[in-house]
Amino acid sequence: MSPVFRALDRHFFAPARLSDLAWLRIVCVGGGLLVFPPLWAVLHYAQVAQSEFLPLPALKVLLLPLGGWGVRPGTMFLHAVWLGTIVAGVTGLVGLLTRPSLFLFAAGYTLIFAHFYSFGVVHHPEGVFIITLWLLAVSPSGAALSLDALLGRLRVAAEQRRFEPRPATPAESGFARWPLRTVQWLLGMAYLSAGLSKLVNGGLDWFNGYTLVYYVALDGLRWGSPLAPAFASHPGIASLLSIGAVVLELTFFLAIVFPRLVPLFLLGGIALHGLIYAVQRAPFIHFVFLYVAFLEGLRRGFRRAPVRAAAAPPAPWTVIYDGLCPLCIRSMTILDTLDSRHRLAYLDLQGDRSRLAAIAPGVSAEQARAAMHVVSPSTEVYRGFFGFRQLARILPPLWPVLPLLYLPFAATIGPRLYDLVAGRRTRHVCTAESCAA
Amino acid sequence: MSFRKAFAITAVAVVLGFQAWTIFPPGWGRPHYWPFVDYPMYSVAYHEGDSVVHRELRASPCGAPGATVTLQIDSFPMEPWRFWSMVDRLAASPAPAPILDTLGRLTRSAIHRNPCALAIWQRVVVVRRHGVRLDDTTWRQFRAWPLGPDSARGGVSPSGERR
Repeated sequence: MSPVFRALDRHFFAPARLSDLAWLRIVCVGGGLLVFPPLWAVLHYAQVAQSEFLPLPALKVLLLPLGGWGVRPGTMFLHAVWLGTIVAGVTGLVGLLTRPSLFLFAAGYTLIFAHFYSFGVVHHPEGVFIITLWLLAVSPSGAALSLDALLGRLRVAAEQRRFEPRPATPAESGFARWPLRTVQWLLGMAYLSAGLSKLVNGGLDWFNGYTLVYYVALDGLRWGSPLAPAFASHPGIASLLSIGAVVLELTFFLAIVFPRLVPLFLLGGIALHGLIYAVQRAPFIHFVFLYVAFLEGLRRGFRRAPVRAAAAPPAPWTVIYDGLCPLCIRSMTILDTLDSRHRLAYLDLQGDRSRLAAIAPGVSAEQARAAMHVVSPSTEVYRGFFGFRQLARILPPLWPVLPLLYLPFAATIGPRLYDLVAGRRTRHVCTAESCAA
Repeated sequence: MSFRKAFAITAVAVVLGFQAWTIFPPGWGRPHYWPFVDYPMYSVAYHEGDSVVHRELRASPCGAPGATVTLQIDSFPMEPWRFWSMVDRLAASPAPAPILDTLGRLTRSAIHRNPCALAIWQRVVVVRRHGVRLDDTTWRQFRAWPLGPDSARGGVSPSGERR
């Protein structure tokens, strides 16, 4: 392999964190759902006169299996696609049946927007975003931070009858990087095309300040932006901002080549799109969603920041569980999945009973088998319900249930409920062999 | 090379290749945006003295002589870009009956009364040496159309939740 191809191979296929790709899935699908057109807007186009329907090639291709080349979708069909896209988006967001969900979400999103575009309505921020949805569908974006990943771990734990904590280092894959890189380059090239377009079509006159004032007056007044009149009365500031915007557009790709520049360019991009929205009401939020593709560079950039103190990781809390009980194994697997910051350590009562006395001196093996115990770094011991309540404080994904655990009478009812479940667990879930051991 | 990797390489090459081809077309023509739309991306330059025409659609409710209601886009059950496109076409069309019919029915739903007339008002905003001053502009009625009962009384359901 030549050095150029080796470099390209490293650039696109060096191992990257699966969680970075998963975050791109979560932000793009979640954000895509937030800005998904409402049903009334979709159905409105179904009632527009046939003479105005000029189907885009993408729409023709998507509808080809359903009725032929150039067929116009009906109201019922659009309604079903809208609903199906939202359902697929929700399952894709949580990572349940991720790949088929993302395929359906990408297809539905493409169809709805291609349908919009087929009536002479000009938008363009969604283009790169829609390509990203397809890239997510064909890449391992559901391999982390997903219900699929959790269900896979639970299945393995059930087969092996053992709980294995996650490794301390995040899971990586050579196939996690190429979609991230492709999105980065798509963004870089989209910005480059915007910058070049201004230079080629407008020339240096584009920076005269009057150009930006004109566009702000055109859009800002039409859409009722309260900031537009003030902005449009300062051509000098507009001239400086137009230079800044084009410089950012022309050089954005440097963030891919020099990852330490990522925070600078992303902040610049957010400022640019924020200002465009404030004065022109033109939403480029789809582009901002795609910035998640730069998570690795962002992490590196902030790690280099001098203000960050080298703080030692906090001491872990220890969860003592019965390693022969399938319910406990499932619970530990779920807790470990939710423990993104590695705040928990685990003690399998059956596998490593000798450490029990050192970690929780006042707890006997019999007591530990009857209920989960959670030991704080300062060796305070919390049993059953109270242990779970401490875990809910430590693990951010459990914070939504925390108020419930502190309701009046929760400290009375909670332990009883916990003991009820724990008692049933011992009787119904353990196999004869494991209980005997 | 595995099929998985070959697929990934093909996907990268196709997606980025098409993007590069449209940004740097053969002969370095005018760059376009890809995919879906050939969009100028606000790349044309303007100068001192150029002007923007700002339009508004206003309705006269029946039974309220002299009263007018400015129709805001938020009050229509319609995609905003389409609304402005219809207003521009209404302003330019010599025979605007179909557009008037649609806008008449939507207006009834928006103002919850029958409109007896629709009018396009406009102001010309000129980019001057010190930018745009809205104080210097005046709204003028550009065109007006009386509405027949058929336009105003068609059934349009009220606007739903807006994004």
